[in-house]
Amino acid sequence: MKEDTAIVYVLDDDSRVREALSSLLLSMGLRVEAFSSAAEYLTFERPDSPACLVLDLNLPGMSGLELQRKIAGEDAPPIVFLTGHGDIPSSVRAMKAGAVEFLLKPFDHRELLRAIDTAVAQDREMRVKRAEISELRRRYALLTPRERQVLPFIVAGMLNKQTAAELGISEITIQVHRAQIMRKMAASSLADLVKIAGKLGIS
Amino acid sequence: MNTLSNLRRYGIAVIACGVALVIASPLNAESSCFLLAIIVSSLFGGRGPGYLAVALSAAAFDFFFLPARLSLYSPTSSYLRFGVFLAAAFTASQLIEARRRIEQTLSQTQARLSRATQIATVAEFAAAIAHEISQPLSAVVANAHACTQWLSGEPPNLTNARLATERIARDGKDAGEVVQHIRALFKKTAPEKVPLNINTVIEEVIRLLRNEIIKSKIAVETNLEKTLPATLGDRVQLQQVIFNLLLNGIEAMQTVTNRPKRLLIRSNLEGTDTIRVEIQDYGPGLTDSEKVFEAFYTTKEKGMGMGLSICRSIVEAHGGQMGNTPSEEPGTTFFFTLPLEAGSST
Repeated sequence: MKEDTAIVYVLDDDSRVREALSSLLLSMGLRVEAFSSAAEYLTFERPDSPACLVLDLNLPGMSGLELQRKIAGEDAPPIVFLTGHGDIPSSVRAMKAGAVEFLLKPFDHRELLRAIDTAVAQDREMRVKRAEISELRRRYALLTPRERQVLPFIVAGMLNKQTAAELGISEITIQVHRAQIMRKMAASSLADLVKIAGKLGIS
Repeated sequence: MNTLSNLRRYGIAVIACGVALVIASPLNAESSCFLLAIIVSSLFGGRGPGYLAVALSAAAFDFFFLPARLSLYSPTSSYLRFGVFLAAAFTASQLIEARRRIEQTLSQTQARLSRATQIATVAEFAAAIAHEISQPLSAVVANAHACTQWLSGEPPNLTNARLATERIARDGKDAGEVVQHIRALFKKTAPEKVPLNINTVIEEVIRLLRNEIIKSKIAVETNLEKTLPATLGDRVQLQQVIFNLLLNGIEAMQTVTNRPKRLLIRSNLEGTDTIRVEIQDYGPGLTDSEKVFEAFYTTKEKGMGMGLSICRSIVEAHGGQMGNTPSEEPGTTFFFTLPLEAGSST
């Protein structure tokens, strides 16, 4: 299977559901990793592929919602909740915390597959964004401390003269820094540099 | 019937006023006596008789105890007395009526409330059953789709398809068993009794609960009498009883932090013809030792209040008894007894 095939992580404490879901998803040409508890999932080393997590609400130990909260913010795969005990408060909490879908057992397989598709697509997008950001961070890391100091002035639209006065260095030096920054950040124009700085959160 | 009871209610008013009239004069306490008559009539007769009593007393009071109205020296104070009496009488009957009405609404509300809680627990029970069935059912449906998918491949993956159908059969059977189990719970069918050793059953259940025990960090200590004779019983039902008792013990100790969480299980021979099993936990103990056996009574946040009432009916169907004994240490000891094979009659 090619590296880019999506992985679906199935987390359900009921072995029957686990087996059935694994078989169903495998038959659809997806890769599947199944777990019976949150702890087991957390120790698993996830390969670098687009993925989504099909998560049960009631799990022994850490519950589905607790796991969702715990992995939120990390580059965790999007979550599709699949549960037999769906109540309104937990579904609201799950969706608010960013779940893609909240499905009840017994579930409609088309609905589940659609949700998985959506989640995986979301993850692909996120991964592209993350890759872009990390590339930009790598480039930013190449800048010297002085260049990092100059960068905000450039993206703020200050003239070289103004920047020079502000930092107490000569205009020529600023010009050199500016050329270095454009080269190291691989920016094709000032507009491009401003965009890059925006993505890095520099203003 | 209705007329008769009405007649009786109004009769109370008439008699009460009559009695008041007779005793008022010698006692020289006409206001108190008539007021008492009105209160009695309102209390036992209701609103109508109360008003009747007010009218009768007013008439009697006016006629017998107030000076004739046409006489010249008729003092205004006598009218005032009459007025005050009337006001008191009327207020008394109104107060009593209000109280009666509040009592009525209260009992109605209580009835409604108890019905509502019963419906809520039934709904909870239904939800639990629905979950039990929907798990294998979800698996069946997913397996069926997987099977179709495996078969429609090029070439079809027969191995995986066969595995999926095998799982369908297995999970379908599971769902069926859940249904049967529920039916058995409600039907109170006669247990299927076979000779068995209760110690084996206890050990089986401990194995079943192993995960729960580890998760809750509980030390299970068994003290089982090795030479226990066999008893007649339904293995699954007795498992259910012990399972319930152990699980209750484990759940009871969930909040315990200041002492070791111990679950003691003992079995021994009581006299010559009875086996006694005891399960002791070190939880917070019970507030009402008998109420826990009532259906729909629960101390757990998510409980249905069915467990112990089912357990007791199972034990009783086996000719035994079930209860709990208070202990000086914190916690609860539940016990049940079973008659020995020779002594049991089926």
